[in-house]
Amino acid sequence: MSLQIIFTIAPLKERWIIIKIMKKNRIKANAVSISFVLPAIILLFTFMIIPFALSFYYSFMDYNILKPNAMSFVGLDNFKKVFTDTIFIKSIYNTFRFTILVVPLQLGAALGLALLVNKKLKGIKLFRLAFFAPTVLSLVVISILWTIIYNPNNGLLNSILNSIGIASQPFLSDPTQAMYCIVFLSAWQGAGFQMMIFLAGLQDIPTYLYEAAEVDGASKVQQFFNITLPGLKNISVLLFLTITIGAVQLLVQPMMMTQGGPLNSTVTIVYEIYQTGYKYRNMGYGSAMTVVFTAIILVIVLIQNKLMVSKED
Amino acid sequence: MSIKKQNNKFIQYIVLILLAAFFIFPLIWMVVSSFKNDPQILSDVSSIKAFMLPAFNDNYFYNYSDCLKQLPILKSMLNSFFYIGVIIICSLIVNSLAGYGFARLDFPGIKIIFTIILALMIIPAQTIMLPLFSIVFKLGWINSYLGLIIPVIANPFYIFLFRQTFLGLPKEIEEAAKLDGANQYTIFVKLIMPLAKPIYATVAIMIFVATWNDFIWPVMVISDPSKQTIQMALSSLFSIQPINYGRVMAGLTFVTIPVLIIFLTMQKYYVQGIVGSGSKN
Amino acid sequence: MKFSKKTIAAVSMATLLMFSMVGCGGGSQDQSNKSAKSADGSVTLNFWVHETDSPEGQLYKQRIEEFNKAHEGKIKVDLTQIARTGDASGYDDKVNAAITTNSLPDVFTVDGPNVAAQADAGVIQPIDQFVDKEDLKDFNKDIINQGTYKGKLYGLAAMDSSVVIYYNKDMFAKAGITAPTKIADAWTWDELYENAKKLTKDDVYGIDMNLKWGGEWNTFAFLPLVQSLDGQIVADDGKTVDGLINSDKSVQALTYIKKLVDNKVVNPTPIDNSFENGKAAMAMTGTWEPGNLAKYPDLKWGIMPYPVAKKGGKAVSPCGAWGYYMTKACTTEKQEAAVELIKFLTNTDACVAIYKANGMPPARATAFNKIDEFKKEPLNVITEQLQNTATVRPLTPNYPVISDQFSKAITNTINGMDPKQALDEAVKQISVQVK
Repeated sequence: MSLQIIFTIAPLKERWIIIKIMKKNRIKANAVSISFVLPAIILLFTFMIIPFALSFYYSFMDYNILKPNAMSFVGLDNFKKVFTDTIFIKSIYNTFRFTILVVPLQLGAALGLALLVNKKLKGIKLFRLAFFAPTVLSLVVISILWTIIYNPNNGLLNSILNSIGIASQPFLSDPTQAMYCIVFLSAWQGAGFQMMIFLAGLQDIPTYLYEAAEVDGASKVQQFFNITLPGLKNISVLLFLTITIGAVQLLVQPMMMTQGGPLNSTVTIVYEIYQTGYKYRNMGYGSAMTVVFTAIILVIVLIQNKLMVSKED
Repeated sequence: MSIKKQNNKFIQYIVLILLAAFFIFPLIWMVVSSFKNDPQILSDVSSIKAFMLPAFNDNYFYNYSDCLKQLPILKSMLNSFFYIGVIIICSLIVNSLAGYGFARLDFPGIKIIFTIILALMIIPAQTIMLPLFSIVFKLGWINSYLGLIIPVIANPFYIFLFRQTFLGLPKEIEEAAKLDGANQYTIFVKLIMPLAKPIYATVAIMIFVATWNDFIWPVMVISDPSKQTIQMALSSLFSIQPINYGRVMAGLTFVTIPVLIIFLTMQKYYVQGIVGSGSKN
Repeated sequence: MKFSKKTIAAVSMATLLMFSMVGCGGGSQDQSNKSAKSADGSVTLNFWVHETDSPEGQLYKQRIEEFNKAHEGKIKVDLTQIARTGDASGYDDKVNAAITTNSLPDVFTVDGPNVAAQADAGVIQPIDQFVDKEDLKDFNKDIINQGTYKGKLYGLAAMDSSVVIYYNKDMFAKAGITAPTKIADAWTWDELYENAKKLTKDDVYGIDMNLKWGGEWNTFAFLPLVQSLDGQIVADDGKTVDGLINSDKSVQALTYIKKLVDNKVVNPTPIDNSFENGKAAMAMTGTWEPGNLAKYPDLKWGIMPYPVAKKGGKAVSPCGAWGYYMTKACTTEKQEAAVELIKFLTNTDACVAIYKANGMPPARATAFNKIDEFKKEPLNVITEQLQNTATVRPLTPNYPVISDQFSKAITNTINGMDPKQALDEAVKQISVQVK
């Protein structure tokens, strides 16, 4: 700052010295800034960008993963196929359906739970543990457990429903119900995870704000809408983004529980990519699907980001 | 007044307990089943007995001793703890440094680079598994913990998380420190990190859970049985036909307990009301 | 401005370095194989198996030790045991990674239906010149068939598998039904349906067919229904499916399954172990079931053969198992040793030992003769099936997608779709993935 003042009062012919010093300072500052992000950039470049670039390269090839040395260039053929592949198109529809359902459900549940456990009650730590517990098991295990719970005959859920007079439901064997079942258990599994982040955010809101509001006579509800929600805005945006990104990548639950059925109602994009690339060994075609998928999501995320950024001002 | 408060507390506890039951019931089923033998598990699953310990059992811990005998559980757990510990430390450092850089610092091209990092979050891990393996192979890290650790240290999601947190911290503290002559590194280590303890704890837990449950990548990279991870060690429980449910439940319980303990331990970094009020002083 | 140019230069250098290291597609280095012959003239073989700590896995450790001792100074086998979940994920991924980076072992295990694809891609090599033709005759025909592609033999197995119908003796007695014990008396589809209907009452289903498993089970267990009508799901060229997978014969087979489901004779979503828990009078399942049945000592059970389409019709039964194959990484000097290993892993002792470890039927006639259980009831039905009616699944590199679509067609049928429609869907999907 002082340099700028000196600059304005200095005679013109000495200004260039000041400019040189300012440039040197800028370079030093840049170097420091870059040093913070350089390790991450190098790692991400090597272990994410390059593999993705390879994947992008494969999307123009006919590549059977058993014959890596026999790849042949096919130009845009894979992409042409992608756009006429009814199952892939269905998978896009299914994936979006899942995302639109799960994001508000999981976000709402996470926020609700965070508010509940953000207290000094005795044993609150154990309750936080209970809500976090589903995250602790792998998705594979959760899927297996819930398949048993959802069993149409004497699964746990149907037993409970029966005991209160509701008939047994087909759940995962029904094309309409299956996706809702997966939405529900996915929100159940993930809510505790996001609850922890919301909790960190809630802890960040200064207590004196609430104290001042109390003094002013504001009700709890008013406090929530005027202090809590705005204070959580950053975190909410982040979580919204990340739940969405996680949701569009849905793979394990359909793979373990329904294999994309019944009647292709639970085929998701990443599941189809996985089947095509690894099971059917058509890595070229699968890579094309990956590229298309990434492009679609990128567009959506960029739009989301633009909207959020313009709101921030 | 105090009766109303007591009622309030009572209601809160009831709500908490009901919700907790809802989130925890599969875990309870899992743990309880680990003390039963297979016919019991499968016949109990359709009734409330699924959550109750069996009344008569000649050996409650049979499944556990069976597991321990058959599988190298302890060694593989130690392996997992070791390499996950390294990942957590490196990951917290690298990602929070980057998060701070993108939040508070500036350099040419910062916007573009950050947007690219954001975009990387979209790529599902499975779609780059084979090319990633080629790279790790060429680096010579196959069958070494390096192959498990280095590729996963930098993570766009955690960078984003840290960035959001640091953005939310009041700038005044840093500016005050700069006026006092502190350099950027000191500011970060002495001021920012302590203020962001909850997020560090959160990310540490997340890394632990994600890596603990990882299966396919460790199988691809590691061949030496002495370097096995816990998930690799337990996998034989799931692949033998017919599946021995009791043993599976015991194995899963083994796998779950450490994570729960880590979680409870990390909780002490979530102290209410301390954070964010730095400017008050 | 100076700085960003430097950054660009640094990044470009890094990129070039990286790309030169990766060399799109994998170079031709041979990483995992130690030198073919060490100073004392001995050969080291790398051997991968898909079992870790299971009884079968322990058996491999033991057998390899025996082999190494017997061939001390000449052949040394390095055993790597690889984990997997479900059917093969984990192991399959590691194999794919090895193919991509040219780091395959010398010998490894492959599941029957995957042999054609591996052979077609040159991942495995033929072993014809090293095997004893006389000895081959001792193997179950289907084992030889599953290991053969375009006339060349690529590997052998020590075990086999089959599907039979287990039945509850008490329930049968109460309903006055006698079960056949020989393939000649095997029930027809109609007889199976009628008897299952008789046995279905209250909450007990006539039969449990593991219909909720889906995946490869559907093809493994139900393709013989099509084959018993003399049908196929793919032509000999390995890729034509139209007119075959959706032929009348396939439609008939799927319609039969649909009939069983619609008449509530079989549970489309059974709870595990329904048969053992008395919720099903019969169980159509694999030869691994006796291990499960052993946990229910009060249940009196018997075995009857896989059903035939009609009286006197072609009897077909499922088969196939993991076997041992030699890879392209095995250099010429090591090939004889590699086949020695394969022979050791599939000799009569090996077959008997594997049965003791995992309960699966052996791949050889002499082994069948050595195991008492397979010479008398109830397991002798399995013996008869494997030695007479076992028919391999199609030997084509396109097996994964064809089987997957066939399996999906069955699941869709169970969920209410019209069989012909479901099978036409399968044809459509296969054409997307197969050129």
